[in-house]
Amino acid sequence: MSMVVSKQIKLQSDGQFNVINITDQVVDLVESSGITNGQVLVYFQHTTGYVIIGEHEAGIMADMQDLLERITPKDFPYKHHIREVDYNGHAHLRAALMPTSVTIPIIEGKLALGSYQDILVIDDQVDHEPRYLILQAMGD
Amino acid sequence: MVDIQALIFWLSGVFHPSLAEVISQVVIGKGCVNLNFSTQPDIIHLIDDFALGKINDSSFCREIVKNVGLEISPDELKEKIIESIVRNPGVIQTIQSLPESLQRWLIVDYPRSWFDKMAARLEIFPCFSQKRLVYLTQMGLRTMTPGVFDQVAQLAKVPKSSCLSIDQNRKRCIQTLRDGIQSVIFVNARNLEREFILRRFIGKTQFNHQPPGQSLHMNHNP
Repeated sequence: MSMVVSKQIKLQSDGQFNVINITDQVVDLVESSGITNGQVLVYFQHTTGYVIIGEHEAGIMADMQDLLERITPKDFPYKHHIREVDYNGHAHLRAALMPTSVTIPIIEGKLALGSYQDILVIDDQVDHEPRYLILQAMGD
Repeated sequence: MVDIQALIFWLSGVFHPSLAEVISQVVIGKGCVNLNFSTQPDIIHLIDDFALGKINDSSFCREIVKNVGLEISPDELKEKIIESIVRNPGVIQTIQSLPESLQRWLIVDYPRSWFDKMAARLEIFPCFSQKRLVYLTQMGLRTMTPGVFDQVAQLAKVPKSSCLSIDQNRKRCIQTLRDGIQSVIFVNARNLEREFILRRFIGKTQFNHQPPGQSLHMNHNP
């Protein structure tokens, strides 16, 4: 019988390339869902951050931060800033380039992540705001 | 590969959930699933000042009580925080698997009085010698890094490039790396053990932590 289990997670974040490892939260949802085979969707509900699957290693995080800074520098006269509402043009562009969501298989009731894979939320917003994610597990 | 000679563990966040997470559980009564308390900026600044010894525990607890609008006294909050600090599973075992040739240092980011109440419960001393504890509150530092590593490297009589920091604080880890000291983001004991194996500190036969909630068939390379 097919099931869909959804949950919203709220994260307090100070932005500025804040990397938050949510693997355990996703594991908890999958295990409590009762789903044996299916998928879980992790969806970031904002336009200034993204979700990746990667190794949560300091060097990789520093490299990613440097790479994103090279291609979408924080200090740049983005046209988004013309309206003088918010100055987070770099965050919007990064979110457009990076994935807003990831989907991971559920096999035999377990999340099928590889040994080095973690689910990481990266928030590039320029101020301190809560951030919301949807976790949705679907399957039999 | 650079020869690592000294491992420097942060107490809060590695041996037990970070102080911010503990306070969150005490104060708000929710797990970190729903509220990432650790990034509320005012509380974080307070915790950092407390760790550096810029404010004492009475002032710290008083400010927390005021900040979150609690209806308990600062002293009650202090006792609740201390009694709520419990060990992260598997960490002791992972640290004890390290060879004696690697120096192990512990940065105590609490006042001595708090640490003395927790040390036995956290089983610190099977892992660390008293001589290799560094009390951040007594160092007179204005910022945690890189100053603390300068001092530990001097005490350990090794270059900073031969030190490895193990730290749950992600941003501090990245900054530590940029300051020229290798760092490991602590997630859990299993990931830490995996990192030690990758760095050849310990052998593969000791890799016996099972990923929580993950399939047994997923032992891939990166």
